[in-house]
Amino acid sequence: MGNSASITAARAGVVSPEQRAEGRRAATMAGLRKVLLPAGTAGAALLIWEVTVRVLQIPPVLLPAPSAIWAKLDQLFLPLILKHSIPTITESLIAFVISTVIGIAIAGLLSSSRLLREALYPNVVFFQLIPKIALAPLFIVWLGIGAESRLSFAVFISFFPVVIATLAGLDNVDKSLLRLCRALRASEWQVFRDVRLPFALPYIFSGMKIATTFSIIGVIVGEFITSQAGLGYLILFASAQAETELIFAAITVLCVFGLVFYGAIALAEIYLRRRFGA
Amino acid sequence: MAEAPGIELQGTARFGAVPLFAPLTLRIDAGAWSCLLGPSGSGKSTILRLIAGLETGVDFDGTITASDGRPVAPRVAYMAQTDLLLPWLDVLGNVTLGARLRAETPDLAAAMALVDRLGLSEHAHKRPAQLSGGQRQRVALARTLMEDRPVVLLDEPFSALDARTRADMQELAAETLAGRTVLLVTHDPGEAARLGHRVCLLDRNGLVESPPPATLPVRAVDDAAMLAFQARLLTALREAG
Repeated sequence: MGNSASITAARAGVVSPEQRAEGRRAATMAGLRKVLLPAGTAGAALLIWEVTVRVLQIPPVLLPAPSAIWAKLDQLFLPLILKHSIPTITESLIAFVISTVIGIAIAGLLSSSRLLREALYPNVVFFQLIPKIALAPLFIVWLGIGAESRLSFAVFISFFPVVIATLAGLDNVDKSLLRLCRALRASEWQVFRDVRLPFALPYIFSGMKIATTFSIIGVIVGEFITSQAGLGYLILFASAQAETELIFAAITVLCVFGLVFYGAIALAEIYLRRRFGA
Repeated sequence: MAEAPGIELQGTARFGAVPLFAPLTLRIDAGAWSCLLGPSGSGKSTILRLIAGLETGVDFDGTITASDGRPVAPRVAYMAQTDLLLPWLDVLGNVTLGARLRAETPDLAAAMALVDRLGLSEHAHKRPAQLSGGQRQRVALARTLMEDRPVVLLDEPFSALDARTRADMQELAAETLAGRTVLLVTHDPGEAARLGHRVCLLDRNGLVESPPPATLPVRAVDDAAMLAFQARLLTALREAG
């Protein structure tokens, strides 16, 4: 009696192969849904846009249809848009790399010294509150109209998120782990490099993802003000000519670049999380 | 391993103006297990951190001396309640963490010997996530042993384990740490009763020593004298609380 009861109890928890297959199907469906649902929504929005423009006969100067933007992109990408994309993309990437390095370094410095932190952190937060776009013209006054001023401005607006996120990550390390490191007589630098930085990676990446967008914004704003080249310049030029299709074509290129840039960072994060994750 | 010294802590500690413990004297015998038993917030972990020379956040007014007159903190190894393994290092990497963090070349042969001794050889290249709670705590013990210090401070290292694993770990720790000066901080009367050559109770009334049974640690789980001692300790804890 006792035996049969225990056998029944043991069988109650067993998962059948059919249930397993069912579970796998459900997981695949959930994965597909995560991709198809947002892509479908975006496709539907484009379709509504296209139909609205055609049915209401909105003038292309006000709002061109997606198909017209695509035609313009196809026509002008090689002769015009590519040439203007290169400086914008290059400067955005450089600004991003500088922001990330400076941001992590400043966060490391702030986390290493209580005095520095107490003196600087409230100011860093206060600085965050300044509408930094308003300072862009100052960079032209200080650094002239070359790439330096655009790069400096892009770095200026994109390194803050990296500092704040990295600092949060460095602070998040288990206090007892830091005690253990101290008992192991580890140097501050070793603890920073081998323990705190790897633990802070998810935070650093969330800061870096914000920095990807901000570095592009910084370069575009710089190009609006000073440049003779770049997608920001092209957008401004096209708007002066009432070439709305060209504006949208340039914005499309910016979107694709932003997406690829963000995707590359997300892939790097997946790789590093696998390397340093649980 | 260097000769294990006895340690004496004398003094008082307070958080700003709030006293944490009144003047007390804690004696930790050379080469034996001393257990410091007390409820949460009694200051027992603070005492352990003071001896380890770690940040405590309290003002300590007193002295910590070794029987041989040399400084204590540099001769201490420390093991905490959680295993504190780095998730991206394998078992061997975690066991040799100390050398890694001091930028020294780790002694992999010695590490492997310890891993073997603690029954972890088949897991040597696994990451912590692939191990059970008991196995992870054994890796933490191996990391502690790897430092080969004469003084070992244990801050409730078995309290997160299930009953069976905890009993196994207590025996393994007693065996591998034999000959070292051990201070075990715990809130479990059963653990103190099994492992202590000397057992002290710390509560808000101060520090009281409670003489353990004549049998030597590790005492068997069904040792009648040990069980009676455990009951006495629990009663004392409840009265104090």
